[in-house]
Amino acid sequence: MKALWRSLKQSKTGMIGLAIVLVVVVCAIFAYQLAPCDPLQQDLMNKLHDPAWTATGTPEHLLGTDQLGRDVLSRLLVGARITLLVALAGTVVGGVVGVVLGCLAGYYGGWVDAVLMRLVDIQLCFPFTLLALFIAAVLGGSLGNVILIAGITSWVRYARLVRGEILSIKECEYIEAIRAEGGSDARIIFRHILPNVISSVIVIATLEMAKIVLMEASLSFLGYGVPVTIPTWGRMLSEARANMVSNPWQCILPGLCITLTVLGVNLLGDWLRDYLDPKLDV
Amino acid sequence: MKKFLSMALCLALSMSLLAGCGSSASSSAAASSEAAGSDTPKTVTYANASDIASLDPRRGTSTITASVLADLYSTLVKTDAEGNIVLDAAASYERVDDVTWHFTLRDDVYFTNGDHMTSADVQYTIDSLKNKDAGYALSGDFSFMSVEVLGDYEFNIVTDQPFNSLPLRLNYVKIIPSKYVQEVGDEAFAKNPVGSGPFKFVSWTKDDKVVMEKNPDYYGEVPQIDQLVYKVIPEAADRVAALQAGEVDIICSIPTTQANYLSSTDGVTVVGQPSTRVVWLQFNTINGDSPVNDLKVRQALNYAIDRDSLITGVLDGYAVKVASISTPEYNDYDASVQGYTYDPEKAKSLLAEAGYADGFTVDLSVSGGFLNATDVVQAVASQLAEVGVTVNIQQEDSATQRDKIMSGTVAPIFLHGLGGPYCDIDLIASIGFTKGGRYCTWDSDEFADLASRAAAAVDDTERARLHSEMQQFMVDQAPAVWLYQQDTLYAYNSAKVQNWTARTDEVVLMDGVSVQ
Repeated sequence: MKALWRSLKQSKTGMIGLAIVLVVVVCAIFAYQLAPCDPLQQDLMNKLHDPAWTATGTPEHLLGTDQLGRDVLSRLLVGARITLLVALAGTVVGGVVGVVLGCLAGYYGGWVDAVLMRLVDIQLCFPFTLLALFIAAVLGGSLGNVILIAGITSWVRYARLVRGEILSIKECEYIEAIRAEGGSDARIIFRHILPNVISSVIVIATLEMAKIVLMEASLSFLGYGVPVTIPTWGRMLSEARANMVSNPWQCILPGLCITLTVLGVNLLGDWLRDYLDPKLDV
Repeated sequence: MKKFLSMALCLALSMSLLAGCGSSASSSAAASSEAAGSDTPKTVTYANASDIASLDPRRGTSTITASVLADLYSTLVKTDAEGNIVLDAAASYERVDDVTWHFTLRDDVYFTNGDHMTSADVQYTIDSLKNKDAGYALSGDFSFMSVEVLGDYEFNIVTDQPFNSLPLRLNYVKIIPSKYVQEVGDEAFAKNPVGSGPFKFVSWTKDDKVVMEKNPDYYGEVPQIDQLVYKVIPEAADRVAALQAGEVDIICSIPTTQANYLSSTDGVTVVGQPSTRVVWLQFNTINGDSPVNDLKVRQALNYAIDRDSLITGVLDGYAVKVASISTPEYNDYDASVQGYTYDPEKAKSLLAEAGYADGFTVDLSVSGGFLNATDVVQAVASQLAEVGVTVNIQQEDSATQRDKIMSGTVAPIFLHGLGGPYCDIDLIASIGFTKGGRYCTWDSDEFADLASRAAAAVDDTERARLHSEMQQFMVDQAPAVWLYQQDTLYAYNSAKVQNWTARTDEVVLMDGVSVQ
């Protein structure tokens, strides 16, 4: 733990990443306590206000109001919650599915491996957005479905990585030794092989998480994401698009939130990779 | 290295976001007027959201297509900007009896390939328009009429039943050159169309633009501009930017929030033209058990929606409240028919009477297309929440929603509306609210009977009485929450474009336009 902290202190970008991610997490957890207004409360007479520091802003709405008079700051905070929820849950779904299938493919080899890896190859043929849109169109838009889509589109990377690592680990002598002692396959996979690959999985997970943030934003932007009544950054961006010329802040604010969050998660992931795999630092 | 790359990318991304927003405010539309020099051709460019469907008028279904084709072809009669019927290629017409209309063609109408327009062309146009085998999308709207040729310039149009709106419907029928079409075939005709309108076809680049030039031999007033360009710009914000940069002269379908912003720009005039498009929240009462099958619930929802605040708040005043199915632009509009008032208390008591004292949850489907559609339904959802009705908004693309409406499986409430070049009360009644009509989602024999009697009534007073009865019936039975007729919003470079008028039927015409 101490070594982790020391390494983090040495990495400026890692610190920045951690700071950004922490801010987003705090905002998301305390969204409703921090939000000055109800994010769904419409006030049609006070719509499209610019942020308070501009000439046309009002002090009641620090970051202004959107095209239905809803408070932008409150929507951004609650939007952080949705973004984080989708990112975390999506990563867990994708990670668990990917790791389990990757383990099976790598450990058993043979036809299990062939079938699973061909599945992976097939899925990698499809562009990410196309696949996400296709599933969204079939399943319809709901929070659960967006998480599911995040999982379905991301499991292949885990599966590939885990399979590759297991291929080399399973030939090690200590695995041979456990097998000779009569250890079951499940015990070998989960107690002895998995801990060896988990660090790589965590690295992939941070990178995938950033991707999922973008995917959720794109889906919401295209109108295939979570229902319209749930505020998300992507939807805010999409709804502000028509007023981009007259009310640029409506686009800039959610855009910045998405950019910074993705940047933060990526920086953190980069540092984590360096920390966990010193060989890469040559 | 990778770290820096990703950081630089993120930075570049956010910079471009900021830069994109800042630059457009400084440019002014007036800067573009240098294009109208003495030697350069006088060109007017107008832009809208989607491409035309086809250059063959028998295949064009959208209002955007109808606009471009109206510049290329002529019709027997047309409507002026206010929607009154005026003559075009016809020299005169009269109704001979209930089902027979006698027309005389002008003898100076020539197609741009030199062919003379005669009664045979009119007959060919209508015959091929209603030919079901050809698969023309709107053939059903014209299948009831046929042409009897009496001479080169004389013919009768005979309808299956008395049909009062025939001239309005004919305003949509663009006459095609029978000899040329039969000679080259439909496909070649659609690629290289020949019409007799004020403009000649030059080129069509799909999803980009249609270029037309003036038809110097036009029988009417020859256009004062040399070239007309229709440009496809899907994003509203891009259209606004293109107008400000002087790339286009007229833009259509701008969001209401941009109208106020643009009207403060020098040299730009914004027009909010009340259109014949009526928008309502339609109830689907034919899909199993649903609260909206109950008349009291439908009435309650009518009381629960504050249309005034939707119009001022969401639509920035660019809409006019309607009481029922009709608007002042339609024939036999009855101003005495009172719509629902905003009365949430009454709504709650009606809901309680219907057994929904605690409210209910209902799906509401919306697709794009109508003015500020997503914002309108979100405001509606928040108003309905006040009377205890929880609304789940389903966003669907237009094609999916249309399929679901036509199969009757659409959500219990959906935002819908009808309008366009031949829209009137009879059209809305027949395709929207009569069983068998393509968008009908309720089942009322009484209304179907009323509507068919009104459409066929020959006597003016009898017809007016039936039409006003229909308007009252639509309020009482509440098959929809009648909302408003939406404005069509245009903005144009008034320093350059002169004599251009917005029309009630959403069609954009350029025949009288001049440039400075």
